[in-house]
Amino acid sequence: METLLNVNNLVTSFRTAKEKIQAVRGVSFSVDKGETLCIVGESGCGKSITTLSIMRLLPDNGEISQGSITFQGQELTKKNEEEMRKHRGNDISMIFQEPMTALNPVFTVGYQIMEPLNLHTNLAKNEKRKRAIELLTQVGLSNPEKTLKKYPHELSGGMRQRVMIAISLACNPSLLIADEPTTALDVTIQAQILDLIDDLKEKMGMGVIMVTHDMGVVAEVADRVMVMYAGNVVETGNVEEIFENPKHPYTKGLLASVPNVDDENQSLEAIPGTLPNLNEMIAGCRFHPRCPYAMDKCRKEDPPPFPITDQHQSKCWLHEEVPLNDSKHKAYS
Amino acid sequence: MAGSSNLARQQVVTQKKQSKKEKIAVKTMKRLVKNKLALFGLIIIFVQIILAVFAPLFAPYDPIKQDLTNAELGIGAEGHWLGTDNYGRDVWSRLVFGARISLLVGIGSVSLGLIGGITLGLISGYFKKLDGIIMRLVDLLFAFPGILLAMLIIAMLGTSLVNVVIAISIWSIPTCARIVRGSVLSIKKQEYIMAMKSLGASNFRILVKHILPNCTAPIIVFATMRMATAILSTAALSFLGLGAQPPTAEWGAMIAAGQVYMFTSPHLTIVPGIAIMLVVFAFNVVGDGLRDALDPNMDLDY
Repeated sequence: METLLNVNNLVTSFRTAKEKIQAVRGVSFSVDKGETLCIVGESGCGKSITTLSIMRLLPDNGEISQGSITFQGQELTKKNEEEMRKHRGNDISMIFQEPMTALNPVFTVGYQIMEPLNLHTNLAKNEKRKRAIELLTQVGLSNPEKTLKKYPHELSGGMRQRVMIAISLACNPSLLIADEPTTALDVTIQAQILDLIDDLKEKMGMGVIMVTHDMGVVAEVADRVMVMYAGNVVETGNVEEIFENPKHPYTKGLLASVPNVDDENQSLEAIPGTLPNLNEMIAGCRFHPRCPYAMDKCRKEDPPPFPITDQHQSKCWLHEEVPLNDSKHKAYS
Repeated sequence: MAGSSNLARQQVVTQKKQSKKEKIAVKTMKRLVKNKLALFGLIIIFVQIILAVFAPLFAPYDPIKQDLTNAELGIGAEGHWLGTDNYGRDVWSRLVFGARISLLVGIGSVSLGLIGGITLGLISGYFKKLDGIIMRLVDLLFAFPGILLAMLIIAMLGTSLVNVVIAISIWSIPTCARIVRGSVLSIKKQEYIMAMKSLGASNFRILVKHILPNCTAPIIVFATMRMATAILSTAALSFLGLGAQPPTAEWGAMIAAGQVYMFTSPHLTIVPGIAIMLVVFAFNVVGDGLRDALDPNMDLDY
């Protein structure tokens, strides 16, 4: 598979009155064509900031202080604003969490769908209209010509999210970033929207980065999963590996806190404690204060990611020796 | 039969389409008209506009032509229903032509002030770095009492109606800039602006095409209210001799000329005074009405 996006040791920090605070601490991952990567984690763990760093849409006081982001072989961190604008909406586009507020209330849906076409193409007006109708049909809105003339407040949440998807797909992007696209929708619509994104991904061969904190969504759409905690990637792996054989204590905790309908006697296990503040200094592994398996070493040294299989990595001292044995086995067999 | 019903349906559809486009404007107008005071104000403004546009048709005499044999006629005099002034000029004709001037000066100064204010407001609301500088500049303008600032500008530029327009427009800029800045500050945090950025729109495009249309409501209200202030200030400046020069028929200048004859012919001050009062009142009331009509939270009767 062709690698679409490669993020290497990304550090994003924010200037505050007192100091520089790192919100993302050395995150590395890659997305292939036609692959869905899910970024999972608690609120405030740096998921959204990671995606905004890729788009270079960080708030004014934020900056990428280290690391590289290569998209289709081009380094994004070194591009200037003008060059970056040509990528946004054209080959990288984004879907936002809140379809209620992500559409401009004073313009019709048609105008807003044609906006990316205005920005990135030189199509004539009737061609743009044709394309807009095509897009709306593609995202499964019935009666697209009528929808073009509607204002956002005349549409339901699910319809608006479909419109948002249509807008983001207008220029056939090769990478789609979806920041919690289904959080604000009810469950039946959620499933429809996820199916839609999945279908479109296959049709257009896009790479998709889906940010979510919903394990159900992950199970539904992900090819690979990246679990983040306090600005670090704690575990990455294929979706099967993560769900069947979670290695990192945090991932285990996340999975244990998802309710299971079939098991009547199951009591939900919460992960004790809360996410540390961004400016909190924690020696060693940032998860150790909440970790049931914390050892002395965890309090002193920050673990590097240890490979478990070639796709699966866990950033935990527990797996320090495991990879050695594993790789030996592999080497001999 | 089927054909006719089909035709009817098509008509309904086209009607619906048309109505949707004008929906917001029509809805606002309807709500405005429901407000009795605002309706009254609208009628006064309408009358003034008609008088101003067709002034030669409504004025029976030349507004600056003197007729000393008929000087200082009272209200209800034959041929001069509002009387004549000390030079025998017809007060009604002067009033009608004065309506033209006050409307022109009002529109001119408000639109100039809006251009400046909106530009400054958009820039300072959107670009954090320029915000401080522009707002301190605006503070500086605010520090002067309005009429004093206008007098200062006229003293520098010289007395003429054009300079009155410039002076009043400069004085309108700071208030307008503040209002627009406030709206921009709240709108730029909306997710749809972020979504526009994520589509690759430039800052200029976002500002003009996406933020500005979202703050039209406060701008419309401001402009209407400002018309009242502009007309009043024009009259005030002309009264002080800084605006329209005699023999131009201007309401403030008319009062200034008439004040000498306050006791012998009071209509020379009272009539233009009433005209100024009515027009200023009308614009204020309509501005108030518009504010209520444009406020989405005022949806009480829907």
